[in-house]
Amino acid sequence: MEAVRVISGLRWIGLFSQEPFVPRGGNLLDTLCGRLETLMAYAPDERDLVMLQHKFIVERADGTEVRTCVRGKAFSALL
Amino acid sequence: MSKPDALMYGQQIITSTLEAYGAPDGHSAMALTVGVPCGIATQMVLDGTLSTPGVLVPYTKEICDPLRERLEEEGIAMVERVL
Repeated sequence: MEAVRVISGLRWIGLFSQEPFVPRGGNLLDTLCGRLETLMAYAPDERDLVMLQHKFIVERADGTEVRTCVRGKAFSALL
Repeated sequence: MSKPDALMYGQQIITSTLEAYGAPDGHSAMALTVGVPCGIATQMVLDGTLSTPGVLVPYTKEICDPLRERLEEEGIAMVERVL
């Protein structure tokens, strides 16, 4: 299953495509960025979502609070 | 979902959550949540609210509280819930 995932990713990025290769900036990093800009552009009405969550385990005693951050999660997705 | 953390007697879980959506015809949530805090921090330096020289990290109340208040005015806010 992992192999299928990797191969689909390589296909998505165009590694097996017949489209002409578009170099940018004379280096591979800029060329990859150019490719990603095309592939990952927003379609009409698309928007993104950013979510961040901290989770605290809290112990209350005599009005005082002990707060310990146990986890922070952040993710971003295209909707 | 990950396995819930085991709670000792008397303990509670508080979550602090940010949820931000981008505008289809405007800024992405990613751009806003990165750019607006930087803009506010820059304004605080210009206003002299932040006057300590050097590289500062947002780990103290002196830096974080005013920043957070201004972020809330811009509609970027955490919501706290006790579970």
